[in-house]
Amino acid sequence: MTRPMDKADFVFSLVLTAFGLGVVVESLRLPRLAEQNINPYTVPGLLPGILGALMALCGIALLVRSALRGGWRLGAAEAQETQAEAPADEPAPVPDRHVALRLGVTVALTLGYAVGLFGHVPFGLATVAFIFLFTTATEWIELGRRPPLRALASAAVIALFVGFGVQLLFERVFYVRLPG
Amino acid sequence: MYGLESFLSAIAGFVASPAILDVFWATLLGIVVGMLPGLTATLGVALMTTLTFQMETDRAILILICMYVGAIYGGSRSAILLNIPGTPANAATSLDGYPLARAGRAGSAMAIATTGSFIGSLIGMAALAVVAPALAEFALSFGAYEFFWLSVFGVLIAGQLTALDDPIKGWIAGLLGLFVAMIGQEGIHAVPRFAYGSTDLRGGIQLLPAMVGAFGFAEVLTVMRHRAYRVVRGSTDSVWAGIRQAARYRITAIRSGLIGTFMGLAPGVGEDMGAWASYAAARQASKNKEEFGKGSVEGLVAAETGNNAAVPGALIPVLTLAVPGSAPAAVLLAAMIIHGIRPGPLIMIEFPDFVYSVVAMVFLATCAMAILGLLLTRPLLLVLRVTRERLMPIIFVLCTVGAFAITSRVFDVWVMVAFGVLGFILREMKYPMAPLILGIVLGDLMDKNLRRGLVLSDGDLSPFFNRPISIALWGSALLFVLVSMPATRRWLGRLVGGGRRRQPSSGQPGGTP
Repeated sequence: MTRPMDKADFVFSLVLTAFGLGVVVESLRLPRLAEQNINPYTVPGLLPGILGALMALCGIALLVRSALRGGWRLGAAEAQETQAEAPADEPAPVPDRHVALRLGVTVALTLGYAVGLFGHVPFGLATVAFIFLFTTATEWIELGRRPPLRALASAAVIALFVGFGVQLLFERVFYVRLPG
Repeated sequence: MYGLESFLSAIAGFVASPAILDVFWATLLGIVVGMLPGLTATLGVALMTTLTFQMETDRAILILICMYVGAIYGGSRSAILLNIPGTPANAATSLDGYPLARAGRAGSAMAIATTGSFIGSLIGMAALAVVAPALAEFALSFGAYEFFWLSVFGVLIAGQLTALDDPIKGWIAGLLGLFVAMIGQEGIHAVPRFAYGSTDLRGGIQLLPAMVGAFGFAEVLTVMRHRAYRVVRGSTDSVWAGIRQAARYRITAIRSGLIGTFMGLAPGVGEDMGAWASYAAARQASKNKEEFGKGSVEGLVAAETGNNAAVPGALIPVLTLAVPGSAPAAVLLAAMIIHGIRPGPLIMIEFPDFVYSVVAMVFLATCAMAILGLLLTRPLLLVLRVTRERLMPIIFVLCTVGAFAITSRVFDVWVMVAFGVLGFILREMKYPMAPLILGIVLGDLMDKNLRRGLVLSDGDLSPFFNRPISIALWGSALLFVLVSMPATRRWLGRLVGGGRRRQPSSGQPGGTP
C-alpha cells in the first residue's frame, strides 16, 4: 500500500527537480556584464544559480525518499489515512461527499472574480454578483437543495452592503480608485 | 533610564490622543479575526496594512500591532469552543481548552487563556524593551558576511522548526521563497532577472500581495475544502473563577513566557512554536502530566502564555536585524518600511524613540486585549455564528482589494491569486508557509550581502567562514541541518543508548556484570 502523500511527494519532486535545473540554466544565461568590466563576483546570476542547484538537490532527495516508499506507483491502491479518534460521546463524523464540488465551485468563482471581473467590470457590480453567487452556490451544496428565500434575500443584502460599502470605503476614505 | 522615559512618554502620548480609540477597535477587530477559523493573524495584519498605509506612521503601526496581539489571543476562543484553532498559534490551546469547554467550563477556560495571554505579552514586552536595544548595538558589528549567514540561518531554522516532522519540506518552501525574491531588477546592477520582458515582473514580486495570497486566498480554499465547524453549546461557568485558577500557575506562566519570547526571537518560527515548546516544557515539569490533553489548566496557561509572548519576541529581530521572527512580523516589517522606518542595526541611532514606542504599543494592545477579552466573553461568541459560506467571499474580496490597493496594479491581484493557489497546493502537501514568506523577505539581503562579501574579499571565501559571528551562525545552521537528518539522529541515538548501557558498570567499580 502506498500513502497518498508519497505519490504527491513523488510528483512534486519531479516538478521541483526540473524547475531547479531550469533555474540553473536560466541563471547561467543571465548577463555577466563583462563588457562593463564589473567585478565577476557580482554577476546577477550567482545566487539564483545556487538556489536552483539547491532546489534540484532537494527535489532529488525527495524523489529518492518518495520512490523508496512506493510513491512511484501512481495507480496503486491507497492506504487509508489514519483518522483521529473522536471522543466516545461524540457522534461519528459523516463522510463529506461534497468536498470536490465545493472546492471546484470556490476555485471557479474566486478565479472568475479576481481574473475575469476585477478590472473589467465596475467594482461594485462585480463584487455584489460574486458575493451573492458564492454564498448561494456554497449554501446550496451544503444543504443539498435550494436555500430558502430568506437565506437568498439575506445573501443579497450582504452582497449589496459589502460590494458598495467596500467601494465607498476605499474610494472615499483611502482614496484608492478601484478599477472597472 | 532613557528607555523608561521614552516608553512612558509614548504611553502618555497615545493615551492623551484619539489613538487610544484605535487601540480598542483594532484589538477588538484582531480578536474577531483571530476567532474566526480561516482568518489568521498574518492575513489580518496584511489586510490592515493595506488599509492604514496612508495614515501617520505611529498610528498605522499601533493599529497593526493591536491587530497582531488581538488576533493571536482571539484564536484561543475558537480553539476552546470549536476545537479548531482560530490561528495556527492556538493549536496547542485546543488540547486542553476544548475538553474544559466540553466539561461546562468554557468561561473559565477563556479567562485562563486571557490571563495566560496577558502575562505572556507582558513578559515578551519586557524582553523587547531590554533585548532590542542591546541586540541592535551588537548587530552594528555585523558586516556583509554576517548578514549573509544570518539570512541563511533564518531560512534554515524557520524551515526546520515549522516542519518538525519533515524539515526538507520547510527548506524547500524557504528556497522557493528565496527564488521569488530573485525575480525582478537586482539591487546592484539593476539587471532584470526572470522577467522575460514583462514590465510588471521587472518590478519584482511584492511581499504584501504574496502574503495576502498565501495566507488569505489559500486559507479561503482550505476552509472551503474542510468540514464546517460547530460551536460547543451548553452551560458556561464564570470567567472570574478562571483568573484565580490561572494565578495558581505563576511559575508555569513565567517559564512559558520566557520560552515563547525566545521562540519568537528565532527567525520565522513565531507563535506556533512558542505555544508548542511552552506546552511541552510545562508537561515535562508538571506534577500532573496525566491531565495534559484532558483539560489541564496548567497546559492551557502554558500554551496561551507561550504564543502571546512570542508576539513581542518576534518584533525584536524585526526592529534590530530587519529579520522577521514570524509571518505576521514579516508583514509588520514591510509596513514599517512602507512608512519610512528603516528597521535594522541602525534603528537605535536613526529612530531611537521608535523602539520604545513599539514597546508602548504592545503594552496598550495587551491591556486592551485583557479588558475586551474578559468583558466581552459572551458577546464575542456571536462572531462564531457567522458561517463560512457568508464570510469567505467577503474575505476574498478584501484580499483582492487589499492586494490592489498598495500600488493600484492589477498585476498584484494576479500575484495574490497565484500565491493563493500555490499556497493551497503546498499546504495540502504539508509544506509550511512561514519559510516561503521569510525567503521572500530575506532573499534581497542574502543576494546583496553574498556579492558584497565576495567583492570585499576579492573572491576569497574564507571571511565567510572564519569571522567569530559568522562561525557561530554557519556552525548553528550546519548543526541544525545535521541534527534533522535521520542518519545523524540514529547515530546520536546509538551513542546515547550505548553510553547509557555502559553507565551501570562504569558507575560501579568492580561491579559484577
